[in-house]
Amino acid sequence: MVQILIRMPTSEDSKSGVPDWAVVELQGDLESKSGQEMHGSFVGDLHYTKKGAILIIGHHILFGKTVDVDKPFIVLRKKNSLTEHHHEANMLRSQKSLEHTQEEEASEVSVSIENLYDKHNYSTYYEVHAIVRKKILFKTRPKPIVTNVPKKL
Amino acid sequence: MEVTPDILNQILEGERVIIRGDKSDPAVLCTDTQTYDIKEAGTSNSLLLLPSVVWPDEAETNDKDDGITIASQEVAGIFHNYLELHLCRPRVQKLRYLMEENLYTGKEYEADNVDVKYTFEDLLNVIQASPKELQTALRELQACCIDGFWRMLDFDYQFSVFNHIVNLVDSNSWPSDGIPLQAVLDTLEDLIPRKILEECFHWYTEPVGRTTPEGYDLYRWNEDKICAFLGEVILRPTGKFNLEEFLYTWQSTVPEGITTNLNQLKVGNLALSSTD
Repeated sequence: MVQILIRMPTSEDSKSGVPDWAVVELQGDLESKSGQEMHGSFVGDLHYTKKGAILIIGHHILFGKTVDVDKPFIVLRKKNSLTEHHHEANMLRSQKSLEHTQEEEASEVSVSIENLYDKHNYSTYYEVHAIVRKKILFKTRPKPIVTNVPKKL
Repeated sequence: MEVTPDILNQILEGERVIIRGDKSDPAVLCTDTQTYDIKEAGTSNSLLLLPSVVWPDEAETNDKDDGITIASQEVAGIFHNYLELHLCRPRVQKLRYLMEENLYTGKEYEADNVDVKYTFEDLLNVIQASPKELQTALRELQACCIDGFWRMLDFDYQFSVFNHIVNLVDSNSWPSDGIPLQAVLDTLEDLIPRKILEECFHWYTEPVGRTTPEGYDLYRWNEDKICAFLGEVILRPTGKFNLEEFLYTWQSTVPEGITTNLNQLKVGNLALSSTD
């Protein structure tokens, strides 16, 4: 049976608490023209207007606005406490107790091994990396931007 | 993961929010008081995660003379799926099965008892429920916390504890609506652990709201619970019982002053009657 804790980062990991992130929601999928990896590629331009927001991606334009999400999202990062510095601290502690017991009765040895395992050793846990409370929602279907069509004479 | 404002607050305040489950179980998320199914939700929309964003009201204050500010933002990722939480019932069916692995049969048998015993934390490790829901389930099973371990009482043992209490009441000629808890505990605690005595006592009595001259609380028999319990005592060993004979036996088993009634058996789905 597994118990996986969801927790806030410890004060060592984050200096100013968990940041607020945002979501831009739009219809459909984003594709790169050449089918290449999108990593590091430019996506588009986001403009704020009096009415809301405008997103221009390629030759498409989308209209939307900023809204609060119905239910907040948390962005989670999977972590493993055995690979974090806690592991080192545990190793040091157990080494110390092993040294100590060599001078004492053999019956003490079993206790030190138990010290390796914290009763609440959640080895895998999720850390809250960010919170999303607002999104910029583009409900309309993307419209192609057509350059000026000359008026009929 | 999509959460509720409530759950978000609990995480922010450092309260325990834990995903529980065996590798083959569907995952659930538990707060201190509730349990949620975790489901993966999908949308045909694209969700772009932006680590930093300048909101409209912030953008205005950054306006320079030409009225245009450009800020570069990086998209952390594009998602079509996210985790959703659905409030659900705790999965406590396993609890009865675990409790029955090692029923408590009496003080005298405990020294040799090497079967598995569970503390509250042990149970949280194997039951997909929040601590509060687990407590409720344990109470419904009439489990007792003995030496830090949660145990269900063996049925016959429970009956013997009950009998001790009833006999004590009779031998002291206490009225059925004036039973002093303290005296029961003090007198019987050599035979039966005090904790068990107290739990059993409360299962079958109700406070009267009065006290003895010395200030000890007085209780009275909870008729329905007692009749249901004794009905089960009679029916357990026998597969079938003729209705008339049963009613007669049942009425003569209950303490003086209590009336049996078939409706009492319906509460726990204890008995079914057929026309023969």
